[in-house]
Amino acid sequence: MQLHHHIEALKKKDRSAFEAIYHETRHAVYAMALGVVKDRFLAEDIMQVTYMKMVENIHAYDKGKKFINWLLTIAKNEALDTLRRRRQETAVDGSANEDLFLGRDMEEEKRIEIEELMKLLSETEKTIVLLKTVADLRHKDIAEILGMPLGTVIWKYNKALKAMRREGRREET
Amino acid sequence: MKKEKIEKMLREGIRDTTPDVLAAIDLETIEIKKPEKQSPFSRWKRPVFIGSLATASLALVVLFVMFLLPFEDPFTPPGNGNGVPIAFDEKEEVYTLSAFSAVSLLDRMEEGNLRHAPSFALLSSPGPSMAFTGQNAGYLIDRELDTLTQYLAVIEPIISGKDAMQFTLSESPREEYTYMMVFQSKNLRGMIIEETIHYNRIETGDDEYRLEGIMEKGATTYSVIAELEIEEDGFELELYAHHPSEEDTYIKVEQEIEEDSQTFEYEYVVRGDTVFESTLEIDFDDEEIEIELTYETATKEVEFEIIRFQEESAFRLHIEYEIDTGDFDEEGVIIVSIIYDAEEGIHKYRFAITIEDETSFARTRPYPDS
Repeated sequence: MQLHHHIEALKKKDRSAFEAIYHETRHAVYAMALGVVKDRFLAEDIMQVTYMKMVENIHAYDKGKKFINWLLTIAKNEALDTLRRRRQETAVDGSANEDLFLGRDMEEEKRIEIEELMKLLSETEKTIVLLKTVADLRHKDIAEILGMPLGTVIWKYNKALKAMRREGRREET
Repeated sequence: MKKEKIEKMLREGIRDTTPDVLAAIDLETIEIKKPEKQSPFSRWKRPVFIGSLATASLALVVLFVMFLLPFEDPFTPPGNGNGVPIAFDEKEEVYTLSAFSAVSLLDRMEEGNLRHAPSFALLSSPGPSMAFTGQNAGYLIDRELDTLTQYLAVIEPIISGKDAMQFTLSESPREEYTYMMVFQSKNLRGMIIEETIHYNRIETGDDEYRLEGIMEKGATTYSVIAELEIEEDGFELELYAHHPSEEDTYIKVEQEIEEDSQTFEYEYVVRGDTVFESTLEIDFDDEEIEIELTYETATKEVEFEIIRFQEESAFRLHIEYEIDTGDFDEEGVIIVSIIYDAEEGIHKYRFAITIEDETSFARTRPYPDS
């Protein structure tokens, strides 16, 4: 069934339509959240809230626009709000989460390799790289969601990949 | 580490650990907000509405003028001589696009005398003197710019997008051919490119056709013969574009078309010997088109990934490249723009190149229509 049929069905709280949309988009939503907050537990909470807000506001979705862009904008805003709240709390209690980017359930060697590569990137580069590789978005959509010029997104993505490749090659030798 | 490997590692790594929150969401407890009721005009901001009104008025004037002028629909084929309209068929577009790309390449290779250049030598052919000898010979990309420029003639009209490409089928004015297909698109300068092919179509089996025709480039006429097979999910085509005076000099194209992608495999044969092979893969997404050009010669493997983008109202190409000579590996990014050289009075391609070590430099090549 086409996405727009699922969206129409979701307006009537159709569970199977919701599940279809969820399975189609969950990696992208997680990548968006993780790219902003860099904490997998927070990203998981953001995922949950994002899908709830998606259902709540499904009538506000403009059919003329790409659904995934609309959904990821919700995820981005939720992640930024979470990050803002988190920073305020951290400033009060002094604690900070580290090494939470990926789960322990991932193969250790692979986890360390990805963590090391991602450390090379700036905050924006991380988000762009995750949206491109994990969410499989086009540069143009990433530019729209992040509100950046297309040329900047393309440039930052290539710069990030280049830095990771250089590091990967250094490790290989 | 290869770019693809990093992308795959990230994709799989993050996807494998994506949490599943489905069970935590209870649809029944979520209250869906009702759609906001709007008056027909409330969703338009005033300037937009006024702009729309102006556009609508202009459209009415244009329509009025159109009805006053003698009407001729440029997109309706005039028929095949016996009053029956010629059916517009996608397989004809496939043939035309393939013929266009093959003839453009063949024409440029002949024109630029590139059939003798080192870039066009296959694995067994060149002597040691042709091999790249190291960093002291300059950047590897410098040796590929002529080849890349040849391909841009093929790439530019395709990367302009599905909407820019137009195919018009009509009866051929040439006695020996039944059909004429005109292919129109735009280049990076926004200028219209037009190519015409005259041909006959012979049905050779169930969903199998042989197409024989000619395409003119300036004063040269190339013959283009194709075998086309229609499959459930796309097309497969094998086409030969022949040099007009040398029968055993030609370009063979194997083209495969699926819903969102097209692959062209080119083989350039000079006097019976294959001297160059390349692959052009075109991925159509809704609005973005990505083209991957790869070729392999005696001394190197070359890969270009090409995307068109708009900057300050001008179209440019963003190209990532990788050249591997076995001993050396060079990667970089090229931004291609069109500039006007006032001194020479011609347009040129400007290649702004940034190598992996962040060295930047620029090169130019004459633009094809200059």
